[in-house]
Amino acid sequence: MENDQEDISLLIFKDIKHELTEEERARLERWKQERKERRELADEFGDKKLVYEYLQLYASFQPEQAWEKVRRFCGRRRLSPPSWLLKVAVVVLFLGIGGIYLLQQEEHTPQEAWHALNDIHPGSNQAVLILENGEKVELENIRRTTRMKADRNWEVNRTGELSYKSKDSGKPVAPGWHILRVPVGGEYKLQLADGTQVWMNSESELRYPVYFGEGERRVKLTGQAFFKVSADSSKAFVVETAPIEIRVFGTSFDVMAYEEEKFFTATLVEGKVEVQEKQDTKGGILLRPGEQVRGESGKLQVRKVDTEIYTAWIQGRFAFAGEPLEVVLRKLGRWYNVRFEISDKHIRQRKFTGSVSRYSDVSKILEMLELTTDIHFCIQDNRIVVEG
Amino acid sequence: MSDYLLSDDFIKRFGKREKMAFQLLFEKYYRPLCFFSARMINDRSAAEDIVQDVFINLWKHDFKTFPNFKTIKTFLYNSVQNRSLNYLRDLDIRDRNYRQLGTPETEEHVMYQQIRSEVVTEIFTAIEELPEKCRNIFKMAYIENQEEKEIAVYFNISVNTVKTQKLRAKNYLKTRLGDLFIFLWILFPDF
Repeated sequence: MENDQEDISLLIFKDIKHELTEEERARLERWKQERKERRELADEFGDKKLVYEYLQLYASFQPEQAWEKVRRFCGRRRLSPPSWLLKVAVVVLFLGIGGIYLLQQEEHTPQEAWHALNDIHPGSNQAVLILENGEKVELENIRRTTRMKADRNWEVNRTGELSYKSKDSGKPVAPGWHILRVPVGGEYKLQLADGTQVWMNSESELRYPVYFGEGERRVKLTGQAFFKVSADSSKAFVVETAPIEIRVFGTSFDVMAYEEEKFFTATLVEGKVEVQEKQDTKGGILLRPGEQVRGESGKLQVRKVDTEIYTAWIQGRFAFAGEPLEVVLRKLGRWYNVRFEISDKHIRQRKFTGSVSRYSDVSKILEMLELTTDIHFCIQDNRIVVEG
Repeated sequence: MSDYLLSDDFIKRFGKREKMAFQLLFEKYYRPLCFFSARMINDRSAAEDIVQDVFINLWKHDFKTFPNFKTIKTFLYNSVQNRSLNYLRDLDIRDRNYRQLGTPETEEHVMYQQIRSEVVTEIFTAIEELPEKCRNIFKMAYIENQEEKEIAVYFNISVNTVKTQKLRAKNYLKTRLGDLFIFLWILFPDF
């Protein structure tokens, strides 16, 4: 049998690890005997100092940075966040070697096989649109099929994004209201009639008019959304949640107001917003970029935050900065559609800091939590038991 | 060796020009090719430029001309080799330092460079594949000589867990790495 060089490389590697079989050793010896240079090459790897130099050179090349350069030359098509392709790329990037198992489905160790069978997959681009007349439209899997029709001003584009067209100046009729409901395990992006972009997180609901008439632009939110409000100095944009109202003029910010959480936050990335409690009539708090207002048990508090942590989810990541485990787990639960059961009360308040891709299967994220804390997880169907 | 790049699925995706497949290929072969080129031309940043150019050039190719992974790999190594030789020729130092590359022995010597690069890749990968927790505890216990108690506090785990992890790390490293064990600290350049 003829040796190809890849085979020889592997034989030399096995030789370093003392793993050669008799037959393999004989093969390597035959190859080496043919030329002096071959013997010298194979012997190089017995020289620890030389191997160390090789490894140093090898490790000095940074594929991540180089990829950033190369990808710019490869294809003009930019992938938008909800694209399946990008998600896979993100998963693979993040998991590295582990990620390959997701695609390969073979040669698992027993533990990995267990994971693959029982794992819980991340959420995806999905939402239900409720029209004026109460009709429900499932937006998952709709791509391009919903072209703009004469009698309506919305469509779903090819990247799975809902958008509204501004109304031509016609007869002034009161606009109808739509509701976009993003379920547990979903996320969705839409563009309102004024061009404002809204990224909706899991288990969130937004009510908005199909176009904006005279006066302020008002939408109602429960859950979490990131707004990039298009500037219109004549019409304030108002986000109304159960506890607060946020009034803006062309800006981007994140609002989190889930009913099940004891607190809510509004985080300003750029521009200027005014936050006002619903029952408060004294006037609101003015936020500057990089500031967050956090409301808990009736008190509003303004602090400087790293906005990237609170907006990481629109970039496809979970990011936590000293957040209590129970809040972290509820966030995971909304995205993975899974319920966590914490058996030990003491660990609920344990603080957690870290960042991880939203598009990995849940086991990878739990693994990371396990690595950095001493808690353990056990996946049982759609329930995950947490032990201290 | 289980390797996704050798699977039919990869070739299928690669043939369809899926960026993911291209990126996987890049991530896996960037370092080996840079090493290969750098050893030939003795200039690591020029080697990086060469390898990046080769990948950009590959992207412009009709991917359907690659029936299997081996043809892709051959294309990559051959391209890097040619460009590296051109680089040397342009520098006009080929005749001085790399006379042997112009002789009939060229093929053989390039093959040695490729084998060298592949063996180094194997060693590096073996070290890098260690689970992170294992690596960290190993590092603290055996390299930094930390007390088990301190490690336990640092990772917020029990002393018993540290003991088990230490043992696990040691056994794993021994069976996994053999003599490569001593290169572990390559991964911790901060010492």
